[in-house]
Amino acid sequence: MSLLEIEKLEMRFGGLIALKELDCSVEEGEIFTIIGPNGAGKSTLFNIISRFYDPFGGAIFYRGENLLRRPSHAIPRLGIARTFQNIELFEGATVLENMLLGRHIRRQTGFLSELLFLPSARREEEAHRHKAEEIMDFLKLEAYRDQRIANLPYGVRKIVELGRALASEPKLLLLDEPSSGLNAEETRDMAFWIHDIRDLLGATILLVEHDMTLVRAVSDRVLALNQGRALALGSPAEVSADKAVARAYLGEDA
Amino acid sequence: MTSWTDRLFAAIWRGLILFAALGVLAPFLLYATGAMDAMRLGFYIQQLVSGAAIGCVYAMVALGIVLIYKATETINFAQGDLLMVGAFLSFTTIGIFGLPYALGALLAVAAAFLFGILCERAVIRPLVGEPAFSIVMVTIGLGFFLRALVGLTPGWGTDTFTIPTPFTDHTVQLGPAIISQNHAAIILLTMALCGALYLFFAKTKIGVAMQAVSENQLAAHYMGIPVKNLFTLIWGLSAAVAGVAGLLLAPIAFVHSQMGFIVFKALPAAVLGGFASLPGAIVGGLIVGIAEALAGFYLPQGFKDVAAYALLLIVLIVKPEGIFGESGMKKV
Amino acid sequence: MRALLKTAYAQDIRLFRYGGTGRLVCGLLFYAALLVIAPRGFLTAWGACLYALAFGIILLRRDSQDEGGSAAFWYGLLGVALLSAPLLADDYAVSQLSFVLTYAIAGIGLVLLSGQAGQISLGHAAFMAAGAYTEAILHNAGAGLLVSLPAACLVAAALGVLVGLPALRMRGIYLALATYAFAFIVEEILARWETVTGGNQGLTMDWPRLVLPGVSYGFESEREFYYLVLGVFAAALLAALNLMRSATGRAFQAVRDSEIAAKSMGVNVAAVKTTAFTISAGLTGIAGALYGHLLFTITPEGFTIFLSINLLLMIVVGGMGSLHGAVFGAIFLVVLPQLIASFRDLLPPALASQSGIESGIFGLIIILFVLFEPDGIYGRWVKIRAYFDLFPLYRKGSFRRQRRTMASERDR
Repeated sequence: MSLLEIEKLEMRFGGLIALKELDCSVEEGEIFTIIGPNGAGKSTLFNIISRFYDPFGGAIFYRGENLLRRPSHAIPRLGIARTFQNIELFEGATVLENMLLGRHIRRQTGFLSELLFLPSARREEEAHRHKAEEIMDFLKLEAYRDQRIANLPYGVRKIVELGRALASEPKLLLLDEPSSGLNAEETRDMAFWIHDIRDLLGATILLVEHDMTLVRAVSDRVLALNQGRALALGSPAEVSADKAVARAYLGEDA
Repeated sequence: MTSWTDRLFAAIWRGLILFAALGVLAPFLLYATGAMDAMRLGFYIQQLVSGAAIGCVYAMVALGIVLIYKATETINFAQGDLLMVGAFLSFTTIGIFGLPYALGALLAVAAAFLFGILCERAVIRPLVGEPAFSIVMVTIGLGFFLRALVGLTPGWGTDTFTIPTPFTDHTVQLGPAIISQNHAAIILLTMALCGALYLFFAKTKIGVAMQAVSENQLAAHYMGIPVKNLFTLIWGLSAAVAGVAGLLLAPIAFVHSQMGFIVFKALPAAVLGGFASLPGAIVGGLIVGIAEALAGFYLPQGFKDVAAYALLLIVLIVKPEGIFGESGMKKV
Repeated sequence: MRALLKTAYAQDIRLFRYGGTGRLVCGLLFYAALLVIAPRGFLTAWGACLYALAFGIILLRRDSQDEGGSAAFWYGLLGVALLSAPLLADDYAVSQLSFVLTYAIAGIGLVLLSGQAGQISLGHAAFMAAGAYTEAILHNAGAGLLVSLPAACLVAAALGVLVGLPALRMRGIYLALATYAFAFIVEEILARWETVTGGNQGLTMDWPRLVLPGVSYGFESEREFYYLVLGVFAAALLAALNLMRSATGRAFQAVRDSEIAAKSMGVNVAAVKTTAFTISAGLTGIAGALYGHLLFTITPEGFTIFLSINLLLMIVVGGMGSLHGAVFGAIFLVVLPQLIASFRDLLPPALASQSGIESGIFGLIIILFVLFEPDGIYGRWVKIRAYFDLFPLYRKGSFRRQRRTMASERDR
């Protein structure tokens, strides 16, 4: 059984077809990339998996369980974390607090013990902090630990967002254009991290990406979408060589 | 895919509409079947019409609130106090200077327009781009301040006044009901104002630009529309509408420095109409006015005062997007 | 590198970053016990000063090296001053201090709701009324404080749930409007439900009684009641601080900053909003109960939208980024009318006799604070402190205006 199975997924915005009978599956432990021109339905797919949108039809199974039956805040509890194309961080909070919010689903103590800050609450806080520090070390964010997000440069925010997603210890990580807004060096770092996240943390990664260098560097399999339909599926080399994909990117004449 | 709660709320909503329609029509049906006499029906119609008239005033205040909300995404809690200032301006031109009603009204509304511009420039402009909460607080503060200012102005003060109008003390016979011309005038003038506003937004360049700003500030800015100046104009327009509302409210309420609290009835009206819809605000105002009349007719004393708020809570829970509103979702 | 850049995890969580909480609490409890044990009239102003000195020397000796100890020291001194206030000040000042602390309890509730969770409430007077009326009814029925105060808290909190429930379906400014509609209805119920609430006449209540199994103690004066208020305030403050340093407090922040991101982190946004309303309402209910005792007579007139707006004014002026703001705001709310009253004498009589002048000045102050001091008195205090800390290096740009809490709700 695949980790994530998408069956005949359909999505429309008014008359616009965002996804048309999309079928695909993501295997445990792979890095699966979705490419496609703007408006191909890539982010829409992520937003359906996060349950921000209700699809018109079809189903998404995660470990055999239909995701569409759950509300959006229950998705991370299943082990699915994500980042956003345009960064959605908690601007008024520090980097550390953002990491700790990533730990939100791991909280154990009840409200009353928080109110009194009982030893159990204190122990849990310390454990969460420990985990948050580990992740900040992993992503080299220590220097920004106590800074507010609003004061950070874009590139750092992007990595903080990745860190926040990692803090929840996901089994499936959805990365929406992790390289957008990053310079060449930062993009190279990102490629290493994506590999490390899979190899060291054992997460399966579903990626939406435009930067073909990054796509080639990290992906096990690539799915090309155009206007909500699957064009090609295969290794990065196969998909880049595909004629239909080239046409979608460059226009009918190519 | 809709959840069962959505379907449940939709069903409740339809039930409520049916119930409301029944409430409005019941006396007519009872009269037709002979269970109610003509005098009682006449009283009911009078209540209904006066409810609609006060509803028109709510509607105009709500209209001003929605105008500002659409443009700047903040609720202007001082809208009622703009109405109060407008009413005092009318009182000044008509009552103190003794100008003819139409001329005095025109001058007062023009002055209200300028006053709105002044308010925007003084306290709102520095906060453009700040969080909504800041601006909401500033408008609350502005309301307090205006009330005190009017109270301290020589000739105005904290007493109550009336404005002589050509309609006062005249009545119209409508079936079994006797309608005050004041009420009729409010309803007719509100309709005229709505028509004028419609023409303004649909046909004039400034009106179209205002709509563009409401839709998308950034896009409007890129199209070369001076967004900030339009905000100022929208405040002026909104204050002018409040001025008209104050002028119309004056003969049925009294002119005094506390009359701005009508804003607390206009806000439910604006929400009922979806908060971002101008026609919605009008209909919302009428609904609130009529609902109050119905509560006064059917229910014991006291319910009339809370009808607007009860209605607001029901609509917020059952159909939070308002009667005409649609829900939106941020794109991520 | 790590050792240089960060403090230990345990240290982060402390109330005072560099410790001293334990000593502070022990010292204050010891002093409080001293006040209870010592016969009336024995512990005079001089005794209080002597104790404060001893307290200060001990803390200063232990912690003169680091700044955290000094934070604990200053709060300790403040605690001593508050505990000794009834020994040093007259009845009037003590009752005013009780009002400050009572408002501050409600302020803590509002800071949690508005500053922390980013929700506006225009109906907090209703929660305060719920607390006050519950307290009055139970107190007049003969219940002790240990029953009536939690009951006041629970009734208000239950109303908070009721107001927060629409959060399941609506957002932002709509929720604020629901709160104010709700407050109007509560006000009308208080005025109309005469058999229970006494209608427009309201209810009267005297000082509360503390009934424990076997013991019964009745508060008899402003001074004794003050200690009750102080104790409740300290407990509320501590609970709020604990909340803010644990998962629930962070969830509040998450909902304030980005609902979308909060959902994607597994935060149940609607539940968090409802929780925020519940906690805030509960605290405000407690404040209402104490407020009722301070006022003696409660009427619906005392709990109108203007009280709600005053409470909002309190945290706007105090600064809603921090719990300090609630206290600063409460001081402001109590002191301002007296300042205005004393200024009245300086005005020409025609102006001074106008009744609206007070609310006009309130309005002006709201406007001025939002325009020029958006972080409130506490924000100014932080800036002044930073100025002295950084002395030669301080620049005007050090605190540039940042995007603050209430984000636009149209796109969410």
